[in-house]
Amino acid sequence: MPEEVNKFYMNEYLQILPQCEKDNVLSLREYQLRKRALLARALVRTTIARYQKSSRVDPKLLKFKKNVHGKPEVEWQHAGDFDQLQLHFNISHTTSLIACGITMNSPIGIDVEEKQRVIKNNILSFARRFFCPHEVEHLASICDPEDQRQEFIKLWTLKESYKLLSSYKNADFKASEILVKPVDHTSNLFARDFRFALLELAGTHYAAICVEKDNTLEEKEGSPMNLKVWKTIPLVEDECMSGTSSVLSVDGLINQLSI
Amino acid sequence: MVAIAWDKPVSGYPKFNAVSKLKSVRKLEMSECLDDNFIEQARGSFLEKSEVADRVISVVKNFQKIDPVKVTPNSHFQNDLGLDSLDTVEVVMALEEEFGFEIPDNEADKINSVNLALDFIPSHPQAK
Repeated sequence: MPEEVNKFYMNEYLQILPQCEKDNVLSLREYQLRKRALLARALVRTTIARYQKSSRVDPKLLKFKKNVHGKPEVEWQHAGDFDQLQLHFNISHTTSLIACGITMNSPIGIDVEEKQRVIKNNILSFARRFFCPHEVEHLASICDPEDQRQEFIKLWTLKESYKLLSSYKNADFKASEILVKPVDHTSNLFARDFRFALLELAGTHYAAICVEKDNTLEEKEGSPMNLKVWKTIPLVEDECMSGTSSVLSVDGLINQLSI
Repeated sequence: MVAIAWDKPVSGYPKFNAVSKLKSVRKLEMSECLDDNFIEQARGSFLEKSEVADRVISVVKNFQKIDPVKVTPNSHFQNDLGLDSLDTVEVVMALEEEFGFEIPDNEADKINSVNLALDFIPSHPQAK
């Protein structure tokens, strides 16, 4: 991602930000971090603008605010935006990839991590501190260190996506027991209210998505999430990656919709 | 010599009791003042800010993902130092190791800059 986006586009992206966000971005001292912040904002604005009823919504006109927990949300401007009120988003980034998730009718949390990610601490000590006992047990039972590390990253992204959905900072991370095979645990309260998906993107990243279940819809317990995945360079191109080998669902939790 | 007893609420922040509770104020015996426990508590609550600052900055600089040159007292972990959420948690863990106490999760979540660590740690009674 970073290399494909050159200075020309960085300027274009600056143009779609309102002044205060421009100032925020430009105040970041590191070039790479400025670039990442700019790309993230451009991605969010251009993506949400495309879900508007009128195809001519200017991404620059979107306003954002933070909710009581610090989570960014759209601040809809017009009374006629009632439908749009149902649009939720969340964003996550690593050094090499930015993900923006959009849902209608339910809050969403998303977290991405590089598959090759290593942590400084011993995995099990870290897990004992931050994960619940069930999950620690599960990790401890994996003999191969590489498999264990990958499983740890998957669990982390799943738990983080839940935390980012529910109240950004106050979700009880440790207690959010992400059961390894959620579809088997239909009696779990957690599984009743939330739905998770885990994807492997381009062979390099794990992305976890957490969505609150819309209880007005009749959905089968344990039914998969319907999802479309796009590879996007804002203002330049979109490629639907759903159903391709670049987007693999882990644990069979999602239905990928191709165009 | 007079000591004012203060509550230790769950979050670990020492708070001074409201005026109505000043009834618990009493004169301490000299022997009590020399009690190790008391001294430890009194000392722990007042870790010198400058000493804490040096130690915090040193922990952050030693974090292998961070370029030490970029670390300042105002550094924001994510915006200035390029850390993500997992890194930030690891930095907080490193601070816990340095200061010998466990930071409750809801407080740890808020520590996402050097400044916030510098605000939080000196006032924590268990910080060593």
